[in-house]
Amino acid sequence: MELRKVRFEVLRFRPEQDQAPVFQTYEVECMEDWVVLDALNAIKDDVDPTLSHRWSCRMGVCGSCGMLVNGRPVLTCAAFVRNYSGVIRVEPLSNFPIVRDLVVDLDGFVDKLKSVKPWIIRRIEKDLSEGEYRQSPAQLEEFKQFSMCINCALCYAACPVLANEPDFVGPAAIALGHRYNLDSRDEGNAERFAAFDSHDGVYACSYANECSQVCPKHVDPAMAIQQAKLTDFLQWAKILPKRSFT
Amino acid sequence: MSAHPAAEKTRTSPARAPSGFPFGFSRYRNYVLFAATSVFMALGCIGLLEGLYALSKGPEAWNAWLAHMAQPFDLALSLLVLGFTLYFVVRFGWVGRKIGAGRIGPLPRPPLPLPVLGLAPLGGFVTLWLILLAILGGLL
Amino acid sequence: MKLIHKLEPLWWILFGAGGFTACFFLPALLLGGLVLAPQGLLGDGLAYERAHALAASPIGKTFLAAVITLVLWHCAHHMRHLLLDLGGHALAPLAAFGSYGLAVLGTVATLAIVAAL
Repeated sequence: MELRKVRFEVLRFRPEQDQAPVFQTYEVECMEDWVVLDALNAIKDDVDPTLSHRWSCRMGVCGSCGMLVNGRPVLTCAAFVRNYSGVIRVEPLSNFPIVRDLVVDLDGFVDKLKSVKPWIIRRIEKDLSEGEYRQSPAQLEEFKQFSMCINCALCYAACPVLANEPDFVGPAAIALGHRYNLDSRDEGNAERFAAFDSHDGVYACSYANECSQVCPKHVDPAMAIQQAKLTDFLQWAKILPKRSFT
Repeated sequence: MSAHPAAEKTRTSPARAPSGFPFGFSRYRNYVLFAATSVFMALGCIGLLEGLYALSKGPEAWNAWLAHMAQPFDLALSLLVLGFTLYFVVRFGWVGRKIGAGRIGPLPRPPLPLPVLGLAPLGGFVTLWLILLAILGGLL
Repeated sequence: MKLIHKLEPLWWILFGAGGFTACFFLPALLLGGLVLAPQGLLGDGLAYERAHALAASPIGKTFLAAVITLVLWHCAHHMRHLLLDLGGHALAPLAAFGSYGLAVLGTVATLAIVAAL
């Protein structure tokens, strides 16, 4: 297998020594089938053990390794080195404060996910003796796409609204809340209303569609947001009731 | 909020804006262009209002307005406004189709696949435009 | 500003309704009224008598008032977001009051002009 020398420009930020982030260049011999994550691990293992970055499954299901590669938010475990020419620039996700090097502070992101109450809410929980909640394949289809989110936050990094309005609840959170609103077992639509209805909720979205462009799991959060806007308006105007739709 | 209540937070570097926003990346450029359509569409409305105002003032004013709009600069501006409006129609319809793709509350999922939903409105729009143009042109 | 935020669903539905109205009617109105008629390419379609008869009829007045007003409110909401995207959070009050204020003025002007037809 051929080896190719590739130059990586990696953003560094060490709070104990850097006033502001700086770029550091590394040259790595990459194998043909390497992804950017492999190169970062090679840097950390063989060249510079001080480099900090998040990763886990290296197969696109955990959502840990999201970064900007040549300015675009990608999962570095899915970004093949051979698809890039010239110098490859690696930066931490945009729209998030940087903790260290390629690691960003995701606390705000997690808080936003929690704010939409992403769990089945029932008025009265069924007793175990009454058996399971039954759901047909058709009912599952209605929300399944929105349940595929791996919380990688690439959509937050891509969203132009978040650059200027950091309190926007964001694509992943809205898609997640919408997933539960569409779930036939859920009765908690009214409880999610507050998170959706505020000016930092669904209405802050301005149709950029970048979230859906970068989503590695084809969740299409932009679709969730547009549907959520219409449903929210119908409820706000009291045309539809604020409860579950089963 | 933190994973561990005793964890110390180190100094973070401020969030950085998406790379290439607003004009450095083609999709962000398109997005800003889409937002800019609102300015040109508003100008178009102002043009229509000018015409209606002239119409309310009588035949001389109306003909004078028509002559004024035939000038090269006004024609160019009108074509620019029209261009932006058409770009708006395509982009708005394209995102608008996402509203129709799934269940909205109790209203069921539409039976047609997304590509059809995406094209059908455009076909519908063009039909309406032709009908309206025919009315304006005295054919209907 | 709080009132503006409380009414976000209203601004959005005006944006959406105005957007669809624009998709349905604006291109034809602009092409016919601002380009073809001044160039003499619409025949007698928009000669004064016919144009005035069309516009001043009850249907015409309602149609024109509704279309122009809705499109103006659509544009206002979109311009507000454009300002936010380009200028940031600091511009939020100006963006909101400026754009919706202009839309109010536009609505008043439209109703006045249409009524005078």
